Amino acid sequence: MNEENWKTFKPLAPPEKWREEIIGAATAVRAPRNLNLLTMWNGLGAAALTACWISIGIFHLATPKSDSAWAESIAKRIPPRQPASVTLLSQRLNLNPEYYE
Amino acid sequence: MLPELEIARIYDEHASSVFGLFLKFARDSNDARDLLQDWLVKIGRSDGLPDDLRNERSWCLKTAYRLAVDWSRKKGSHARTIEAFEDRPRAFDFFETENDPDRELIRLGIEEALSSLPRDQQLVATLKIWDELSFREIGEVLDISANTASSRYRYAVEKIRAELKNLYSEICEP
Repeated sequence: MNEENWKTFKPLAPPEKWREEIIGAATAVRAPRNLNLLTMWNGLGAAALTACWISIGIFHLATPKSDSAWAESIAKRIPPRQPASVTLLSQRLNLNPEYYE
Repeated sequence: MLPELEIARIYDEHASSVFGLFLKFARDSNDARDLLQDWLVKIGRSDGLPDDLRNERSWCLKTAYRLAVDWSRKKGSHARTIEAFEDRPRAFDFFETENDPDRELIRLGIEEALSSLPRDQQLVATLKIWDELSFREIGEVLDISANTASSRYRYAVEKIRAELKNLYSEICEP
């Protein structure tokens, strides 16, 4: 017996029930590359929108609810003004401080 | 991208050969099925068959071989996969079962002989005998020279004959 006889043995074929599944999968997954790009852009857009909403939320939470509270919070952030001394004022205005004191 | 009808045609014409090649790499028929699906998905996503295609079967087998080698590498190192493949008993057949008891005995003998070969010789023997590729085409599929394919084939056939010698004499005895 030689190779010609061995050839008469039929190699195992994939089961018939796989055919539809595999062809179906190959057809479904061959989604156009443009669609993948579109999905990517959609993803980026959604991420940007989410970030925007999160920023708005943080700003909203950090902001006092009433006008007086707002004014208070602003007032706390501004350092109290020191009354200008005559010496400093005179120096700025090129005047003689002794005269004013 | 290939149209659905073209994908189905490629499957119908070449899935058996490609499946046979995957069985030489896979640990079980589930792996071979996954590889077959991955291969067809890859074909479906491609821009079509090459224009200068001489033999569609050999092109399909080439893409399948590359996929199988990549798969082996992903599963671990290539060498480890080959060792694991060669050490373990095979859990599936390469050929369809025969109704005639003598032919079934020979089938089992051929499977046993093929399994005992190193994978590179197994592939060359299968591609030459059952897929009827020329040595040049086998070389293109496996990325080896036609001379290397030819010598691997010679070794493989000698070994299969030696393995089957006793079986033949047993069957042919009156």
